[in-house]
Amino acid sequence: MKTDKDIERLNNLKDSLEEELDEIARQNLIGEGQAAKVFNIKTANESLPLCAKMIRPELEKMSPIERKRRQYLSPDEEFNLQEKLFEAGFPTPEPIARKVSDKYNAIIMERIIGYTLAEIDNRGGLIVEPSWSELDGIIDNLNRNHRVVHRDLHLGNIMLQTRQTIENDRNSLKGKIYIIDFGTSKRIFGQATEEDYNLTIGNNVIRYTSDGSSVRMLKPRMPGIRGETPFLF
Amino acid sequence: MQSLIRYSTNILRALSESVSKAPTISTNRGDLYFLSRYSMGAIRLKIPLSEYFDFLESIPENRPKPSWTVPVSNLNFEIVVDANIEVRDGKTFVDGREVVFV
Repeated sequence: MKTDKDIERLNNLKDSLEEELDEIARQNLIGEGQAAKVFNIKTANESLPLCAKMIRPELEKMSPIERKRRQYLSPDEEFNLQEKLFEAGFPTPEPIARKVSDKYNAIIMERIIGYTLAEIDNRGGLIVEPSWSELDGIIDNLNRNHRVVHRDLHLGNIMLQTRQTIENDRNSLKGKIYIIDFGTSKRIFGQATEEDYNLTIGNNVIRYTSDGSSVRMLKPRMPGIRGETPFLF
Repeated sequence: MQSLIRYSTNILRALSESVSKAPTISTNRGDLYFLSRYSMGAIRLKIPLSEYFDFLESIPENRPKPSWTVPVSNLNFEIVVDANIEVRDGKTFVDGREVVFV
């Protein structure tokens, strides 16, 4: 049984959380997608860098087809999936917390220091380690062993964690690959099929991006020579 | 409160493990365990939860914001300190300002 004091404290916590999320949303915007904005969170020097993925409130007002196109999983489902993958050792940012207030719906997680493959590609960088085949192996592992298809695996959702900079180490980037943003992913049973990349609602069909095709596009054309891909090998 | 803030399993496990070590700060109200990897902490209370919150509310100036002390249940500690804390000379600081947590 909640006392008046308990209710007052709960309300204070709600107000305080709203203020905290307001403050985060005023800090550096570091990424923006159709479903969410990502903000940097100020942390102490030696601790894990953090960010907040703030789900766009306007998603709630969209039709089911539009919403599912942008964000297939609910934020809770996305957080739970990321938690499971992280616990199983899959290279995805460490999930920290779910925070929900009247105005905000946030997933707090590790911020990967480094670059997306899109940034590396756009700025003419070249990854020498890991190799493309390691990325292929990560996606195969996601599909076969974790039974998950990502379905939005463009260059902006694959990151190289590195302390190097493109300016200084343009042709010799080394690091660790991370897969981010599981908002449109889906759990599968058995082998992934074409069905897993489609969703029909009424007369509308959403065709998500196939994990394999996205990764195959990145395959180096010739070993040692850069093709349309940020991978050297 | 579960619907407002929920911590991941890995965070709660790390905080839970920190409680088995020596506390960073110990008072007659409870022990604070600091986890530098996350700049977070766990508090194991020696007094009832309601008394702890009464104590926080009685602090005139360097009182933590309500979202910095989140109660949890069924763990070996009662409070998650979620505030990007730093510990120096036996005192806790948030954004350079001293804050009393325990």
